[in-house]
Amino acid sequence: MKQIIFTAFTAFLALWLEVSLANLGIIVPLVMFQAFYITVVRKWRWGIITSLVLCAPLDNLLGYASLPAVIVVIIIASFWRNIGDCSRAELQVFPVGFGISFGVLVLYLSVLVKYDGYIQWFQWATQFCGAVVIIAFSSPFIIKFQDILADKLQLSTYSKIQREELYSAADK
Amino acid sequence: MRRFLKIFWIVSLVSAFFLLVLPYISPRFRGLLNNFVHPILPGISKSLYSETDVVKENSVLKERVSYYQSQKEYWDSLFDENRKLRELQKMQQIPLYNTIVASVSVRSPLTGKYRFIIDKGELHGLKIGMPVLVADTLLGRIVEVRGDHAVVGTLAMQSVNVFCRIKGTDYYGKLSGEAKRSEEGKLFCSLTWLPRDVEIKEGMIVLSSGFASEEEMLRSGSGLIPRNIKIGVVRSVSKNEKFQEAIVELSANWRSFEHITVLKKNLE
Repeated sequence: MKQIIFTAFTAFLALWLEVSLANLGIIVPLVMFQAFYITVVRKWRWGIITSLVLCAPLDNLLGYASLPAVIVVIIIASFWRNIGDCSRAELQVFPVGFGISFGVLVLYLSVLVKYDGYIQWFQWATQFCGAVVIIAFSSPFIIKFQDILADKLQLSTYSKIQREELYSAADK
Repeated sequence: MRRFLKIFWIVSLVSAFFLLVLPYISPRFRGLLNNFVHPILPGISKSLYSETDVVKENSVLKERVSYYQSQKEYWDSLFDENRKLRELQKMQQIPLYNTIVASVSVRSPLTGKYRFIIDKGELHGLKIGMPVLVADTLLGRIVEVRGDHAVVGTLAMQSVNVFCRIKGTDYYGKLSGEAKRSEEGKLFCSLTWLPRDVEIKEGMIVLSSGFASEEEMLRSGSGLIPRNIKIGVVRSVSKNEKFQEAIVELSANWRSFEHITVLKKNLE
């Protein structure tokens, strides 16, 4: 129950922040990042359910078609969970940057298909770079913040999840 | 050696005298000397240098500056509001139509040229298909309506169509969808179904025709757009086997507005 409340709280905080920032003219894919975080901490099923819940209001408010993009991020996050190193928050700049870059590219593609529009090369490239840089460099802080919150609630955290699973596998 | 000490003491005494007198020669040194003297002799510092006229004057000036800064913000907001109201006032009264003014509440920089959300909805009498104007130019239509908010689709959206005519002529066409890459807040849409044999030039003005599609008629007239609403300017023309197609630059800048006007047909 605690896990559901924590996930719902952080997810809707991410959604609210993303919509507010978009309204100010800044694209920060916080929902994609949240899907990444949840997938690493709680595996892909939780990631999918959270994205389904978050993408509906996001698409409704901002007019995106964000589910394919978030699914790409979930796939990359699942890989990172299995083969990467999640123990140090500052190292997450690279996987988050990589995953979100692909996610944002898919998002642009889906918007292009949805509205049958034209690519705005310069404008989109600027937005893309801004979005990826902001989310990648703020990811260690967001991870730390969520980990502290999860730790206080005695839940699994991003930086400890791999170690916990290693120990539980060794116990078995 | 003695002579050296004598000179040293004389120089020290003269310097000390000047240091003590300096604040009374020029008030700007008071703060500086206060910083030196206060840690050693706070009593002397208080009686000699602190709470001087300069300090008092400085605090009064700071208060004034903060007051004028707050006033400037207030005047800036008034100026901004005034500008927006002037823009809205450009909208002339159209017979048989009521206007509903709404503010943009959610707009993404990625999809803002296609759709955005406004703060008025079904409760305020909005219906799907109603024309949306920025100042006196057409931008799009209402595409979704909910209780207290609605979604506006701009003319760059493929599903938002308007029947137009070229100003000064009787040539009609259908405006729909983004035609080419938009630049600096400008939107380009394609005007199709123009007769092939007529001469259409760059720079011609495109206005609403006043005609309605079948779909608009089915919606009991809510989607009807009055005649002669300005839409844009012809930027280029191309011909195919049957028709001509013009690329129209919309006059409404999709980035730089915060308020829009919805036209509601007065059916009574």
